Amino acid sequence: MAGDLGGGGKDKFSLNLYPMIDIFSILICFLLMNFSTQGESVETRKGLELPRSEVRMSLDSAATVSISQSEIVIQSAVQIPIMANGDVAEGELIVGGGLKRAYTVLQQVHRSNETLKNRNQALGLTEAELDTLTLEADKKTAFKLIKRVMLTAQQADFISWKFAVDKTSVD
Amino acid sequence: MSKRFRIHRRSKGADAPVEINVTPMIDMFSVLNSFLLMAAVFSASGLVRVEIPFLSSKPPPTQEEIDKNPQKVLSVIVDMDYVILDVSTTASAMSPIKTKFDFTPQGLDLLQAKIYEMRLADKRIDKVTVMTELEVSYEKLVMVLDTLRILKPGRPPIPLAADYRVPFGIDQNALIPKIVLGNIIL
Repeated sequence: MAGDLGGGGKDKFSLNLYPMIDIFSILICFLLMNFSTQGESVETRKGLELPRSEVRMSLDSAATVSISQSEIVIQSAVQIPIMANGDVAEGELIVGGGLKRAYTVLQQVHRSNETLKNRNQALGLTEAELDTLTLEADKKTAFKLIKRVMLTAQQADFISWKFAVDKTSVD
Repeated sequence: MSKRFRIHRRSKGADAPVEINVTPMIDMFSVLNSFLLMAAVFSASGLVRVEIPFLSSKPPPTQEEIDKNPQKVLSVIVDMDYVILDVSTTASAMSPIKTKFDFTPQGLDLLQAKIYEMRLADKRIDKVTVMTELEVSYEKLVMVLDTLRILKPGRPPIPLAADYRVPFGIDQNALIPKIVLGNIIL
């Protein structure tokens, strides 16, 4: 590539693009080789930092419960604020220590999963997967809150959990 | 070759330099590069599968069966500063043997070494119940779950019995395939 500089002179300047093309080619090869279409990634939320883990299993899709430092989010539908003492307000609780609004949403999720199970078994999801919830919790979350969420889910017939973590190695 | 594939030389003269127009290639590279950089996964999310206790319709084994074929029952109690391994059996009323480990990488490694030894000696051990104190953080809990599941380098996977089926979604080489969070009871 060459171009004329203004001014009527005969000097030509040329921009050497070959190094840039070389770098682009290497970068594209590297990115294409590492391009992953597998697994889910956790939606970035303020006050939610996952703990690190050496697990090799990648996260897949399931109904999600998120616990950040400020709120509990059930399936992006219900937000339950976490108070300064690290617990939820008394008014949010039901008998047994579960969370009232979370229970309603999880029951709905369970009902729709049941319908899905009955309607289409060829979907590729096993029954165990439909009975599973994903927990995305900030690494500083006290087990007290996790227990509340799990108790609520247990009342709505969810007994299996997938704890979302940050993998120390990217496969 | 038909006419339309002929190369038409410019009439500037034979000395005119021949150039390859690389601009479209650079355009394409730039777009592809931007897309791949934006879509690249530099930190992947993983998962740790756990279960909570549930009621089963399966009839419990009789006392005679239990006495004939006693099994070790492993529980891990996660405290703020310690992890306690509690080993009992289904048969006798023997008081459980408790071993305390510091909540440090060394302590967790010792815990894994102990469980690894027990599982090597008795391959029927496939379940650990984890009891967690309420103040323990999620990060600490995941560290204990990693200890129970993922073998540290230098510990080869334990061969499984021919008839043993690893639960769905669990790594074949997991130290303990079944982890139950024991204190989630209504």
